[in-house]
Amino acid sequence: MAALPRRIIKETQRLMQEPVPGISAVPSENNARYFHVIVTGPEDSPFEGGLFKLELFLPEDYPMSAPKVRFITKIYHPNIDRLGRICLDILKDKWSPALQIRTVLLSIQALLSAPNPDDPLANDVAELWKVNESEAIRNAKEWTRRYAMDN
Amino acid sequence: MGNNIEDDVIDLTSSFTLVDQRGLANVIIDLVSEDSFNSSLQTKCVAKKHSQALTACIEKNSSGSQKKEEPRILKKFGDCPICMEELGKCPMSSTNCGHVFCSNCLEQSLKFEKRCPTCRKYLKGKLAYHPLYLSSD
Repeated sequence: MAALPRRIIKETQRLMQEPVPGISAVPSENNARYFHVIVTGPEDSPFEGGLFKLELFLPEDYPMSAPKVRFITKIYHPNIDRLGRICLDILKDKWSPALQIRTVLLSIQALLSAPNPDDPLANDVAELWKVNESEAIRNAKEWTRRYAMDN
Repeated sequence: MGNNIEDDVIDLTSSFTLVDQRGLANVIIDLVSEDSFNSSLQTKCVAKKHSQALTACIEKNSSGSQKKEEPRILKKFGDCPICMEELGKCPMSSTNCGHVFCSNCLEQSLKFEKRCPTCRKYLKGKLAYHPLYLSSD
């Protein structure tokens, strides 16, 4: 396996030394490109109080290509599908090598605060979010309580 | 003789490419710091008598005595947003939108996407970016 680029080492060190509030990202013991991530549900969002597990993988040509990120914890959100895949522009065509693990996770946290049903990944969730937002928010809170608070 | 010296100086600056000018900037620093002189390049050229010494210095610098140069980087310009190494350790480039990266990092990034990594401005063609040279003085 090729040596770990210095950028990845630096990013990892900085994530440890100056963690982002509400986010923890710890590299796997046997693969420094694979991170165990926990994002806390933002205040004043239906996900408040929840701890959401994600996995983040830095591909071989990172930072030229985006990290691959997926929710492991089930979440009721119009831009996150049942497999945990995330619809977020900076993870796709808006990626730039000047972005970092830190900025990606901050964007994901922001996505939890501001669901965007007009650019859906989970169509049923997005639909409900548009026609009956209060019910969608109730579902999101229920899923948070059921899946993101049990430990 | 005075004319010759002057001609030498004009030749050096006018016919050099940008890359060589960077070498020239390094030479000025070298000469001043080694000899503790505050004299101009022109004076030092006279002291060295010919531009061959200068050329030798430039060659030495461009062939990478980077470690020797490092302590002279007094100002910190921040890190390259791509490799996160300190800017100035490697040759730098600025995009035409004014964002600075290591030249290698920027070139590599532009192979993936023709946009500025910082502001995403579309970058294409010869004038999309250019080398950037900073004097340490």
